[in-house]
Amino acid sequence: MTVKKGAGLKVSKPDGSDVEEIAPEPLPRGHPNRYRVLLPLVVSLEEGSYAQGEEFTHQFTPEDEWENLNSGLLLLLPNRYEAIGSCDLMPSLMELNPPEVSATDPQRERVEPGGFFEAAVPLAREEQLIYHIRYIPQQEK
Amino acid sequence: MAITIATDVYVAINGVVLSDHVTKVTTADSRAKKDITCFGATNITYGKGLGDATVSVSFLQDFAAAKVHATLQPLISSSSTFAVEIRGTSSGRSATNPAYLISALLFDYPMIDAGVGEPSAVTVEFANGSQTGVTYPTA
Repeated sequence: MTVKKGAGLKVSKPDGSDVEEIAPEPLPRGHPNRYRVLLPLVVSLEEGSYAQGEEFTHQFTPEDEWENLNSGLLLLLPNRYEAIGSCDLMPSLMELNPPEVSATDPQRERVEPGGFFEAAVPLAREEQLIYHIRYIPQQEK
Repeated sequence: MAITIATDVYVAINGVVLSDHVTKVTTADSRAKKDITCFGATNITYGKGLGDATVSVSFLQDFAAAKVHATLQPLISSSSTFAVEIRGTSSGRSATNPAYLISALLFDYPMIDAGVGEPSAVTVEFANGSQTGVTYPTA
């Protein structure tokens, strides 16, 4: 039997001894997003270093992304989403600082169920809205 | 503007419009009242302390996909703030239809609060979660 790593199963050797437990690997949360460096600092990541004004794609954890956006270090660039729930949505209210976001742009106003929209929704908010929005990866756009 | 009868109050929680499941909304925007009276004073004098904001919303519970429970339940387990917007009517923001907007956190979620034969209703209080406090955007 082939045991896939991370399956969370107990495995015994053929003689029945030495039972080994394989801990499940946590599923990756979120997806890569595209960011722009806002502060006059150099952001160093495994894939490279980025100065103020430069853009890059990276997959942060929702918590790390939230901290980097809240600190003003990074700007999250918009992604495309589908409204998968049964309620109307206000995409501008899903962004990081909704009080500063004007909802007067008709393109970004109310989205009905089944509709599509573009918004800069942090990963942490995507998790909160798991029953309402579906992230559309770049290749599906 | 005429006196308003509340028949079309707009409620959006984290960008999800739930007005059609809401029966009552109470917004609050307050400042702590601090006694700054000193010896020799002839009257008690107060000063304003820190601001605070809460929104209390009564929902008719709905466990259908992407309705009330599906919107509120992820918020109680999340530590990230989310937007709560209230307006007098569902029309767009304007000078005569200003929004009450806060970045909020949810600290209590009573999933069911109902008696026999009564509608399953829940009242939740959204507490201020940012230094911005309340804003009243009109556009």
